[in-house]
Amino acid sequence: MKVLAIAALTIRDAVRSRVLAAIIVLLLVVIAGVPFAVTGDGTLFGEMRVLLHYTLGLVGLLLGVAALWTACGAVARDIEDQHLLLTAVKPVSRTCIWIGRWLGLVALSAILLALCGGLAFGMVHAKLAGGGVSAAQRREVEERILVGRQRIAARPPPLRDAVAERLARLREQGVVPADVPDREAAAEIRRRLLAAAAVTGPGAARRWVFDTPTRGPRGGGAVLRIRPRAPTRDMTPAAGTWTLRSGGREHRIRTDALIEGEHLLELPAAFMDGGALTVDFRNDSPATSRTVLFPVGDSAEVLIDRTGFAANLIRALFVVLCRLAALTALGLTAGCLFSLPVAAFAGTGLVCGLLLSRAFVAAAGAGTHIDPGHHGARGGSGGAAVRMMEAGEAIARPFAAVAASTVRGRVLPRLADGILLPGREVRAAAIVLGLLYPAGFAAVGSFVLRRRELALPGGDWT
Amino acid sequence: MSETPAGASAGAVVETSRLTKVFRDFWRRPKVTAVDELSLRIAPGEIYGLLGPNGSGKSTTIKILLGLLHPTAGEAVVLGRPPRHVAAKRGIGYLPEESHLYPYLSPRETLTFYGRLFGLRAGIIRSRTAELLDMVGLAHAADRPVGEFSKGMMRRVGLAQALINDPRLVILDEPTSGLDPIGCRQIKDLMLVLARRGKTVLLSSHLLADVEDVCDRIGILFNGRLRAQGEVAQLLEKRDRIRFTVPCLSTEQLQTTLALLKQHAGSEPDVDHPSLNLEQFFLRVVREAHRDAGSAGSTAAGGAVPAWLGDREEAVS
Amino acid sequence: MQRMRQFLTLTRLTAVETLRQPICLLLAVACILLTAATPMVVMHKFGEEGKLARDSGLAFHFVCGLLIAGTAAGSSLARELRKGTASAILSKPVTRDALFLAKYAGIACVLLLFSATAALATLMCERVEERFVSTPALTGYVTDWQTGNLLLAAPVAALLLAGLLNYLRRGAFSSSAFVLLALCVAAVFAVSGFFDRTGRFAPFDLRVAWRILPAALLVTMALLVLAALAVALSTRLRPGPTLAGCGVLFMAGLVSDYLFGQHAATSAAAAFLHAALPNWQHFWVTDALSAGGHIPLPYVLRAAGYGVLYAGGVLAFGILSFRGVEVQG
Repeated sequence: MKVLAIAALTIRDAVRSRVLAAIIVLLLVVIAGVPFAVTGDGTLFGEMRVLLHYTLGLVGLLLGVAALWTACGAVARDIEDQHLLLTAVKPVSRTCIWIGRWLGLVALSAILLALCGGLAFGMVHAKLAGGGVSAAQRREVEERILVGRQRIAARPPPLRDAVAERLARLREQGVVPADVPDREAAAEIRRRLLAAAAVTGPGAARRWVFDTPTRGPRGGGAVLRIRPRAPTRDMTPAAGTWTLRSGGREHRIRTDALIEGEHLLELPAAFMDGGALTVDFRNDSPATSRTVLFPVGDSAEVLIDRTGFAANLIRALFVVLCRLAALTALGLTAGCLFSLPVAAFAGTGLVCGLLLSRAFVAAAGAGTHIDPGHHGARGGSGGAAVRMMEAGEAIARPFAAVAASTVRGRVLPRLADGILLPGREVRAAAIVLGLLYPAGFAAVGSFVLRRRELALPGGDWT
Repeated sequence: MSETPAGASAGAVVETSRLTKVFRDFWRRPKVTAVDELSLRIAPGEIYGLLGPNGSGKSTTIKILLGLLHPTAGEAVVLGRPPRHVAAKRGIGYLPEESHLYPYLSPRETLTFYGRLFGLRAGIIRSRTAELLDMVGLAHAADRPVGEFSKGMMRRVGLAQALINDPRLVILDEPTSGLDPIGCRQIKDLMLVLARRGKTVLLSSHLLADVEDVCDRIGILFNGRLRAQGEVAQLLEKRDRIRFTVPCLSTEQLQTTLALLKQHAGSEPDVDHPSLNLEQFFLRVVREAHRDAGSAGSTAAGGAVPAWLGDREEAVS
Repeated sequence: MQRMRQFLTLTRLTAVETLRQPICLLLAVACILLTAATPMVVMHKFGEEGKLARDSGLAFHFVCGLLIAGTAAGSSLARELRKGTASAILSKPVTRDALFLAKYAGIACVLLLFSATAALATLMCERVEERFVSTPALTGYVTDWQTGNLLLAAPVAALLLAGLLNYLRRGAFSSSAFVLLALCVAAVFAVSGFFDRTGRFAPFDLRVAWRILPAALLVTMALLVLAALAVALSTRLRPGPTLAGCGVLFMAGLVSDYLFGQHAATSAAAAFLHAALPNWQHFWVTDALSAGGHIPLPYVLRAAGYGVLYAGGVLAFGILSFRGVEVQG
């Protein structure tokens, strides 16, 4: 009850101080303005993707900044203005105060997110129902965006043995110098093998293997989505035959106009039997086709209808809400430690650091963050820089691990692509972002509030 | 955590033992010793006045007793528990020196919020809120944002929130600050009523007249140290003098009495008419003006002290 | 004369008040550290030597300056109006106009000090970024690690010295550190002139691209315009909304040409907004420095004229707004 009282106070604060109104106005400007300013490729399909990806993405960004900075001020301002004195002398623990504030702010985020999600949903359907939309455009949007399709990626190619064998051979031949570490040489060999695997020249074949789920598709069936790329600017289409095999069954599909972009091939329902689905593409002869690239990764994937758009939208918004909950917890704890401006600076800096740490560690892993071959890099003051970079990498790794646990792939691009957000991912977001991180921050924040002398003259707690 | 820490006297509502507070700078060097080995004991049902000039450590002492500051040395026990124990705060009502109310809440919402923090039931909060606002003379402004109030009106709201939980110990830090003379008198009367009903009142003030009127015992701080402590009447008594107060005498009777006194006392006695103090005179004039005009100012005359502000434990939800 | 003394006193008070805020120090330190670290961490050149260091240094200068201006205005005027301390000043024979302009002048002084520091850091970080060197002794890419390390050490030295001052003389840490930061960066700038790119002692030559200076000057002008907007907003808005308003005006001004400029010929509303919003593109001309280009002095003067007129207009509105504000006692 005390927690709810403080949560209600927080909501009332936001409403009566007009912070909520200001944020709503800003969000409405974004929701109305972005589709006006960014029209995509001019098609209905493009407009829908802009609405769902960029508009909701910007909404998420604004709400994230608002959640962080509002949370920083929630406790910091109370301490600075000494409002917290009257609350702290009541029989309510500091943990209660923290949790009450957090609940109130998360509730506000949920309301705003629901408002924006509802508006986006309404705008999507309003555009569909509007005049000037052809049946083909409507069908394209309904089949490719307003769905929730489970994405099955192909098994990754088994490269480990091939990389090890090639590295040993190249070392033997003296091609790879002795001072190049195994990790860097193996990474480079792996990149080259993947690049070679992507090339399917005329007359050549390419194979993917998918592990299909046991549960059959809902109503709409399954498709194989392929994204071929042309090796040059030559737009001459490739041609070839797709052979699907599963459980003794075989099905062939002929494609005569395989150009760069996205193509969907209908998969018979019988092939979604919980077993391995093998897909072979054989490129036609040089006389009738050309080289086509299928980069390892997302060039071919099986998409299976699972839910509708509304359910997927709710999942996406829920994951965003969990992120906002974690940001709110971070901001509240920072506000327990510092004044509002410093807390906002620290919180924003930490979030930026988390986001950049993954890129930094990836660059470090690839060896691109500092090149030992550049003069001055080793020895003298450059040697100190190398040690600094290595120390920076060691510091960045745990941050990158934390960031990886919070951002498991982009949510809104998948929503705009009609890709289902898996239940396990939503549950993981709820547990990790919605509970674990806030619990950790709550422990730190309430510890700080207990230790802090709230009635120091000038508010300075050192 | 033990109910009664070692060394605390049984029955004492507030007890400190060599309480010290030193404010330090970033480098942990002492800047100011605000409270210096303060030992005091406040018994149940008494009104204790903490006096001292500005910067003598009164507010610091109170904030330590409320757990808002941590003592550098020494011990403090409030209602049988360390000050930072959450349970100790159930029986405390606190009016700070500055009101520190949320400006966008109305008095009713303010009292409701703090009542909920005490875990009081909704019905009790409602009834107490109405009675307290009536007591402090703000029933007519119950739904206006506190941010629009004058300082005196805010103090009244602050006083009301300090009593919402029917506390055993009421701590008032400069309670009459910002109040008009009528408001000051009402605060003082309230303190006397609370004490009669068994509550303990700790009053911090540098307005000597206020303290003299209501306090049973006082302690005088200077530079953080307790310089004097005791019952007001005893401390102020001039034992080397006697004063008689009698109805007016005729000139002849007066002369006879003076001659007799001079004969026994050996010196000329002082004779004058006793006088009202300025507060009493002011209140009399205002009361008469109220009676004649039948009007109210920005603050209505306060109502009676609610009956539930008595010496009993309150069941909470 | 008395009015001038009043004005200078209030300006100095505002400047000191701003410098004593920890957030201003944090932003300044962050700006210098990020500027110094960028050419040492990121190897990508964006097609041209020095471009990364130049653009990133000026960008950090701009963004951190924006935040300093917004925070300073909010905490200075907005807070004084809210808490009532402004009444203590206005109860003296001080006009509202003088108080308002002094607030702006004080914040502007801090921004000028910050901008000078950031400009020096940008000049040095452009020098730090690796260059292809071909000499009889050495051929290859060389990064000036020594200057980079000294520049990274400058904020650390400033903080340590400020700590020492605080310990010995109980001086305010934040304001001391801010000023010492400027001095340390200037000292590094001077010392770096005695060393060449490989860290060897050489005859004094600063070896910096002075053509970056006009770009830094233009960014400084933009910050002064932003400060005027921030102070004007703070007469009516609280600190948080003031900063948010500055952010919105900053973003809107950046995309003003795209959003409104292209429709200005056909829409009166778009034309009005395009004219009314501050166009930061006038002050962000880093592309002109590409391929060895220079920013001509006449352009700098025209941009300065735009800045002065715009800031003057904003300050005039701010004064009118401040005259109508009821100051709490």
